[in-house]
Amino acid sequence: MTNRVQIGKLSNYPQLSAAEVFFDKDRVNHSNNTKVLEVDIATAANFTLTADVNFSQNLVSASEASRTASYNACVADMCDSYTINIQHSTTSVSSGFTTVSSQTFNAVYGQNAASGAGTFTNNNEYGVAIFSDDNSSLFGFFTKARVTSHNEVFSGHIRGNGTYESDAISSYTNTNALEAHSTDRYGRAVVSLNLSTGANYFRVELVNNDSGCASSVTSSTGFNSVGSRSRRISLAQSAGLPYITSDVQGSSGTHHGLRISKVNVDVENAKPNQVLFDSRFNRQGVIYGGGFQSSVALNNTTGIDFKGSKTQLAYTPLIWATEDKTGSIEVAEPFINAYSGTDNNGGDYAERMNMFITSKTHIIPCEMYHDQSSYSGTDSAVVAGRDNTKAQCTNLNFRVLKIPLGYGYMNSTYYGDGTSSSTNRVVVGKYTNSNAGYSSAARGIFVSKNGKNVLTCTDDELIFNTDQGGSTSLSRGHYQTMTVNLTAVQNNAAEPTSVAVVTGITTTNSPTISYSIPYTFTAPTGLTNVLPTLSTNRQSSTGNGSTSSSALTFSESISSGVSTITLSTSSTGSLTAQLAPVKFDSTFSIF
Amino acid sequence: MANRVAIGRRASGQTDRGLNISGLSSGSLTNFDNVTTPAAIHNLDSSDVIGGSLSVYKFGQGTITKPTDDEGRLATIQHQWASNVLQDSDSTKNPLFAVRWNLAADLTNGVATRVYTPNYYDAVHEEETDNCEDEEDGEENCETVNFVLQEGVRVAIRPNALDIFNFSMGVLNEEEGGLTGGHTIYYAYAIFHQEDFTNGAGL
Repeated sequence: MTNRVQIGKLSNYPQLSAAEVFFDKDRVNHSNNTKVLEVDIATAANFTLTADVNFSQNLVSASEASRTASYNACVADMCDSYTINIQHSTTSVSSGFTTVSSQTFNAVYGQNAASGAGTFTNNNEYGVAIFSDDNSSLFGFFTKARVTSHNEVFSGHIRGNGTYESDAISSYTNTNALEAHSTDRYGRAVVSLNLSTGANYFRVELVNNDSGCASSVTSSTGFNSVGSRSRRISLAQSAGLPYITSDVQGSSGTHHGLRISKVNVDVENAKPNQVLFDSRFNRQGVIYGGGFQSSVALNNTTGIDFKGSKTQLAYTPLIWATEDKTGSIEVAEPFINAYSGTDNNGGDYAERMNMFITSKTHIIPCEMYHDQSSYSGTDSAVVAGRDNTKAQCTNLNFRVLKIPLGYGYMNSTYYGDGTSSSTNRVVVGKYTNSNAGYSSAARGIFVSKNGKNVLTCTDDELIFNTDQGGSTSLSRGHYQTMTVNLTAVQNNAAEPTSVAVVTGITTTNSPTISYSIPYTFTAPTGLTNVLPTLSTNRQSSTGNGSTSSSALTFSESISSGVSTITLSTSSTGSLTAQLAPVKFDSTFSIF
Repeated sequence: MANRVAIGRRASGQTDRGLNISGLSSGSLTNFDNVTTPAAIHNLDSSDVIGGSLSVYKFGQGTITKPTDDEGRLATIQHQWASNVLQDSDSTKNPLFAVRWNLAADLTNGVATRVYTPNYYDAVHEEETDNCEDEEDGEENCETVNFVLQEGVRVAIRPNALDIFNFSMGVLNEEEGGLTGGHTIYYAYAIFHQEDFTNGAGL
């Protein structure tokens, strides 16, 4: 039997067992060193930081004018000295950086080795192998250069032999130019650091030390000394137990509260994505309101009031919504069904038909459109209602969650902890708190966010709530998704998952997914709580402006408490759907 | 009064254990189901039919100035979800996420009064110039210039990063290359502990 509920003192989330974190690979231009690896160190220790840098260099002397005479024709210098700087800060992601390691690499060049004969197969091309001089194949730069025939290479210079004018003709452009490419350049820098507790930031800078290499190509239009680079930073503890913490609340320190894991997952060893609730996460899927609308008028610009008789939220909330219209709309003349036929636009394209405006009280179906010949420069293309696209919002199903999501709300005021270091956090049973809308006693489970007293906190500071009923209740349960691998969960102790990826949906193949429905409710309102998003979803063909529903069709049947959803399409090609069934929790049109 | 909370076994005969809270009875705003009733709708259900929930892993906000061309302007958020939550930096799975955006006109005292779901829009307008020639059939044939209006936000989720693009460049004169208008966009994002089920679209 698996332990699944903790009430009281909560155990920490597991630390990173590999004792190593990686910065995501990126590819940026030469001057950009702003990509930063951020890690939290739980306990000061020695670490080894490794920076792998890949980059390319392309030299193109653009025209005949770049050639002078004889052997000076088309000389191109490959830059042969680079430095990798590893920089560290404990201040922020953008300031306080100091260079903690500076390692320079120099390349030496082989004498017209033509060693690429087996590598470069195009006519009039020779390969030249260029090697690092540090005698270490691991830490040097590796360069392959490709030039026109009769090349000579020494000390970083690559030149066409001016004896023959044709020598300088690029096999690629067939103009009088010389091309030299070095690809797959790679360098690794390593530094050992003693890192202190707390946030640490790292970034890696690549510096070209060889300033002369750029000027050696005259008329160098198209010259690009170092075109781009990619970097990968890894940080590993030098020895001993891992001390790198994940950037997850509850990964260190002592907390008291409530935590519930999924079925078959030990609550004490669960990862954050394996729990159904953890009182250390200050924003969770508590439902403030929601509803179902079979149809919203095209010219409805005020939207749907989800506040009703409830106390208004202090922020624009996250609203999860599904509807029939998905995918893009693209219209060119003659404007049969959508967009204006009398404006000056020759064509309109919107990537998503299912667009919404959210305020503190309303959700408004909207669209993007503007007659651009009258565009003033300050106008917005966002338009309330959908009278232009004609993408009428039908079968709208939405849930308003107590999660702030709007500019100005993503800060500690709305997401941060309270200030009390020791306070009541959990009530199980009878609960009265007029500050949170519970003037009359309710029963259930109530949990406040970190640092807030559950007996006196406001409603928005309750991160676990129990519906008290009536039109003014500020909570309607919790946003949850259904298991789509129930058989494996029950028979093989598998971890429940809600994410179904269904491939190969065609006109002749209609796959299914299933989930269990233990609840009784009034069908069909709210039944189709399934969020479809397709990898192939363009609906409208150019010229007709059709705003038909998704190419993916759902049909649902229920037998013995098991809902089977069949996914089908009448469109040509093969569709892929990724979706999750969302728990049904109300039968009301607006609640 | 209905019993609404069960910690441990929900009811006799049930094999799974957890924490369950019953909610309103179907079709009622005032009556609650007994948590031991198998068909009760739950405020919170921890039984084996539930696959996940929703909790915020990372959040933030920022601005992206108007782009200078039709390629857009990019802000990348290094959320490190795969490394930190899955503890697998090379995972190909993406986190569930949500992005909203607005324009300066939607701000009051520095906070948004209304926000939009991500969307991208462009419109093309063809305009005749004064350079016209008479053709043999008597009709006038004039040179044309295309003007392209582009606005909106696109998003792309990756296992350890989130990309937000501002495409609100205003109107581009394709003949002369000049831009008219354009917008700085203000964005807010939330990354969740849970895996993405929207195929990259976001909530």
